[in-house]
Formats: sequence, structure tokens, C-alpha cells
Amino acid sequence: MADINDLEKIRDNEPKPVFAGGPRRPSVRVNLKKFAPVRERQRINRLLLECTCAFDRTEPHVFKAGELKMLQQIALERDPHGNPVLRREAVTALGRTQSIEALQTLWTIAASDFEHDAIRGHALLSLARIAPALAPVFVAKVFDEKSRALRQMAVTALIEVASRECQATLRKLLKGERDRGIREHVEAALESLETGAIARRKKKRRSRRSPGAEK
Amino acid sequence: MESRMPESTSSARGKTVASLAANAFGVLDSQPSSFVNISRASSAQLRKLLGLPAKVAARIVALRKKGQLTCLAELRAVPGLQHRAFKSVWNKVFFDRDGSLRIRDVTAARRFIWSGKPFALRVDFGNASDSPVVVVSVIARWTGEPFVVEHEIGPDESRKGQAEIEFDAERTLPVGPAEFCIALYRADGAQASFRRTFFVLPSNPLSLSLSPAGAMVTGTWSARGAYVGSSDTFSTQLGFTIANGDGSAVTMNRRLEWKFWDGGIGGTLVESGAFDLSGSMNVPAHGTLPGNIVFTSPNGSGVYNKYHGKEDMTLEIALTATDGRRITASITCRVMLAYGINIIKVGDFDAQEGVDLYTAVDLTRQVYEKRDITFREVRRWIIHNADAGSYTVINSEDEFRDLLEDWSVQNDYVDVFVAQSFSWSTYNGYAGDIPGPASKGGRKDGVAVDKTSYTDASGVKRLNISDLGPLIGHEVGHYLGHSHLEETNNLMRANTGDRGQIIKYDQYRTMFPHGFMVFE
Repeated sequence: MADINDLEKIRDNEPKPVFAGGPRRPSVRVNLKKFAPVRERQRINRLLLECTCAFDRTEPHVFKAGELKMLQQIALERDPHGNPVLRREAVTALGRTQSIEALQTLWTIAASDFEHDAIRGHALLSLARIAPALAPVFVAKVFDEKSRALRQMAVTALIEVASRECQATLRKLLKGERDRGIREHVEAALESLETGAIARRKKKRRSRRSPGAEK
Repeated sequence: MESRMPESTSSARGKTVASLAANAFGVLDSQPSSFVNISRASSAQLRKLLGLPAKVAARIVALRKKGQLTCLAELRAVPGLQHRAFKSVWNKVFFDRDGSLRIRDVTAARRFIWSGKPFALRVDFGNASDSPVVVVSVIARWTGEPFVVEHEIGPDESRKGQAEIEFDAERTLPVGPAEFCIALYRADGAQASFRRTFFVLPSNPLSLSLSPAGAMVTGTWSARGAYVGSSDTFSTQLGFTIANGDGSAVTMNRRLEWKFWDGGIGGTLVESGAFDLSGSMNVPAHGTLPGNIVFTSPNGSGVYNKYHGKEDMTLEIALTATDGRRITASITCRVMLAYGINIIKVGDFDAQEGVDLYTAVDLTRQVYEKRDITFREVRRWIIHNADAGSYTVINSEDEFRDLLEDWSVQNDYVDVFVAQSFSWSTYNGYAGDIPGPASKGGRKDGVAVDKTSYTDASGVKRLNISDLGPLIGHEVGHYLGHSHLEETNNLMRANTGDRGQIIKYDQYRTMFPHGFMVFE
């Protein structure tokens, strides 16, 4: 453990580097007043990237109907040089809008087998949040996919909705699921849902384990 | 006053390594790609730009002529276009008016950038919308403070798909790496992004610069004197870059002279020496020749004694070209506060995702090294899918704490769990506590982050290194004692979009007493 008293011992007497022109350059800005959608985009980008650290317990921004179009635009932007966190947050935000108009955008993403599993999974979860009654239908359409990550998110969506139909779908999925981790997850969730317990999806307690060293 | 001579002396070795082009210098740079309009491209263009087989290219053109190819779903169904081939091209194509906007490439208008000279960046883009492109915004990250240059794009530039952003005499840059993050906006609010790094070449025209070993981020910071217990020595590793701003190649002599000074160059000489570099000594025209140097300082040497006394030093390096030109550079060297991390993959990662993860971890290290804190070690662990269960997706605080309780590495390093995804509210990271415990056991000993995955232009699954590195640093920052701090470019800003790489001296002091920190 480092001793805080060592701070006093540190000698920091070397000259700092200097470079031509100093450390600052003035910025040049365009007046965005005449480009209202650009300003709006920058504002929404900023709102979407708030509340990403779980220590920030402020409620996530709830977007209004007038902001839906921009959210859809961001969610559908498949720019490989863009920010995947921003896109994911746009998909999650669409799920909070409770807007039927967002369903098509979300399904376009969830159903695209060329999109990344992560964004598809979040789209599935958002679909379930907007239309819980349709969650088993959406999930059934993607559950045959090879991607474990997507199946895991599909299970998460069903557990979150927790309706009778979702439980029935979970039971059906369990029969065909070969991944041990997902099976255990579904079994534990069904057990807690069936006993009426709060759907805290934990599971058989295990003794504390160490992960394996990576080869 | 009599000075005591050191009983032993430091030794050094070094070599040059393969160079990156001075106009494509960043390992995190966006890859230029053709952004092909499927609605208009010829069969030859489809073959050349997308690498499609001739038969498939011909089918695409034929289907298009019949009006049967208007969107990605229809492209997906083209006979003979294998799934793998489709995955490698879907992100490189667009259709008339499908709303896509993409930056194809960013280059310097004069190919390179020279120190102290105005320059311009050229942005090539494709726009599949009637809405024009109107603004481009560039954040320049260099040795000094980041700054922004925005440019209004006129109708001609928008039509042409090319814009130039001027950096005038007030915004010239010194020799060294400069990273440009470009955001392009359309009138309807659509956005496209790109990242390009240049090594700003010397106008004089030959220079030498030094950096800590493996440095990717720009800035001025120190090289680390690392204590090696097994040999009771201090090791100093650093990188150097010889840059040639001239149009003809330069050959350097192998001899490298070094001097460790106390109190700056010309102060008290601690130790000095010389050795021959191995590897190529040719600095290409308008190019760079990087390399690395390792100093080993045994117990009793002057450098060892300074490090042991927690004193910093200035290291001066000198090289000469075969034509007689002499170039020198200096860097501060010091011992650093250090902590270890266990990187624990939760669930299986693709091969490239694994490479990206450790590149991101290296970025985290550099962010901390800018504030004289480094990693003791990075240990690599994995919880395979079969064992990870639901922990691959963190969906609540309970889930997060269950993960910490169920899994742990029994050492005095910070456990960093890298999950496949977070579906818990809008979050992508969390730490057990502020500060986290300096012991293992319980529901607070570790941090977890979303691996930030995406698919690149070639269809390969990647992690977003430039976000993941600071994200890991941010959550570990909580664990080591920091709350959020809303100051410009600070690592501990809550908003991911505003987060920078700065750790203040007060934050350094806060981390100092954490039980996982060591200071050799």
C-alpha cells in the first residue's frame, strides 16, 4: 500500500516541456442558429450520453414526440466510424418513448442479421418495453439465431415482461436451448416467476469462484 | 563538497521499428472505405471497390435495371452473394435517397502537415439524401489543449462530396502526433464521423521526440522508472520518433548518446553513456522512424538512487545524421504510483474483440500515466459462456453485485469485469463502491463495464477502443476513490460524450492512499 506521506518526498523539479505557440489554440465555431436540426442533433447526442455511469442516478431523459424522428435517425445510422454507445442509447431511448412509431425502426434493427448482436439485443428489449404483449412474437422470430448474446437478450426481454405468455415462451425455449448458462438463467427465472417471487433472477447460490486464466 | 560516485552504472539498449505513415499515424484511426452507390455503380466498380465476383456484380446490375434492387434486404437476397460476402459489404454501400451519410476519408490537402505552417484537412464524403451537408466540426487533439475548428459547407462542396477545413497561422501545430476527430452534419441533423491522426512533420526539417513506451495518446508526460524486484533494478522504457519533413530520405548514425540530469539539462549530471541502435536507420522522405529504448539501472547506480529517493530526472537523447546534423530531445523520468488490474472477460469474445480489449486497456494505462500512475500488471482472465450464465448481460444492480459476489480473483488487483452488454437502464459501467474495498470478498470488490461492441466497415466485430479505454479508467477511478467531477475533459465526468482524459493533481492525491496502490 502506498503511504500518503510519500507524497511529501516526491521531488518534482524538472522543467516542463515547452513548445512553439504555447499550449492553446483558439477554436473557430460556425453559428448554428441557421442550422436548427444540427443544434438539435448535438443536444440530443449529449442527452443520450448522460446517465451512462450507474453512479449517476438521475432519471434518464424521456424524449418527447417531436424528438422521435431524430432518435430514429440516430438509431438507424450504421456509420462504422460512429459512436456505438450513442446508437445503443438511441435504441434504448426509443424503448422509453412508448411510441408505436418507434416499433418499425426497432424491428428493422432487431431483425437484421447483418447488424451486431448487441444493437439487435437492445432493439429487442426496447420492442418488449413498448409492446410487452408482442414480446413473445418478436423473440420467437430471432430465437433460432446462432448468436448466444442475442438469445440472452431475448430471454432478458421475456423475463422483464414476465407475462404468462412470456413464461410459456421461456418454457418452450428451454426445451431447445443447449447453452448451459442460458438454461440456468431461464430455469431460475421461471422458478422465481412461478413462485410469485420478485423477478430477481438469481439463481442457485454458488460458492465464490475464480475465473480461469486466459490462454 | 565531495560527491560520491555511483558504484555501478546504468546500461541501455534500443532498436528502431517499422514506421506508420506520417499521414495515417494512429492505431485507432478510422479506415478509409469506398462508400458505393449500389443504385448507380457499374459492374466493374462493384468488382473493384467491393471485391465482388464478376457474376454477382453482373446480377446486381441486372436486378437494379429491373427495379428489383432498392434496399439492403433486396441486396441480401441476390443469388450467389454469400452471407460472409454480404457482411463484408453491407456497411460500404448505399442506395439513392436511403438517407445514408458517410465520410469516406480524411486527408491533408498537401498530403502532410508541417510544424508551424498553416494546413487544411480534406474531407471526402457520400450523401444519399436530398438534404445537403452543411457543417463539419473538427476536434484537434495535440500536445496542448484540444481545440475545435468548424466550417460551413457550401452547396457546391455538398454536391461535390468534398470539403476543406483550413487551419490558419493561429492554429498551426508543433512537431508530434495530432489526432483529428471529424463530425459531419447534414441539414436534417444526420451525422457521420471519422478519426485521423497525423505526425506533424518538422519544418526545419529533422527532429527527434521522446514518449513513454507504447504511447498512443498525445500530450506531454513522463516516462516511468519501474522497479524490477527480481533483479533489484529500475527499468526505464521509452519510445522515440525521428521525423523527416524533407522530400528526400535521411540516414542516421547508429550511435545514440544519453544523459540523465537532475534539475533539467545543464543541471547536475546523474549518469551518461552511449550505445548503438539496431534496426534500419533510414528515415523516409516525409516520414518517421520510430524506435524504443530500455535503460536498466542496478542498485547503486545514480539513476537507481534518484528513483529510489522518489526524485524525477530529465533524460536527454542525442542522435546524428550521416550528413552531420545533430538532433536532441528530452523527457522527464520518474517512479510512479501503481495498481494492478484483473481484466475478466464475462463470456467469450471474438478474436478481434480480444485484441481490441487489450488495446483499450493500454489506452487506460496511458490516461493514468499522464498523471504519473501506472499499472503494476494487467492479468487476463475469462469466465466462459457456459459458466457465466446471465452475467454476460448486466441488467440490474443486483445482477452486478451478484457477479462481484460469485466471481473474484484472489490478489490485490482491481477486478474489472468486461460484460457482453449492459441492459440496466442507460448504464454502461459501474463500480462496487467509492472507494472500493482493498480486500476481496463481498459485493463491492470490483467494477464492470459494457464491452462497447460494434461491426466495422468490413463486417468484423470490434470493440470501440476510444470509448472503452476511458470507460474502464472511469470506473476504476470510482473504485480508487473518485466521485464524478464536472470539469472540462476530466476522466470522471458523468457524461460519456463529455468525458476526457484529464486526471487532476487533487484526484491523484485522492487515489494515493487506496490499499491497492503501491509506490516502489
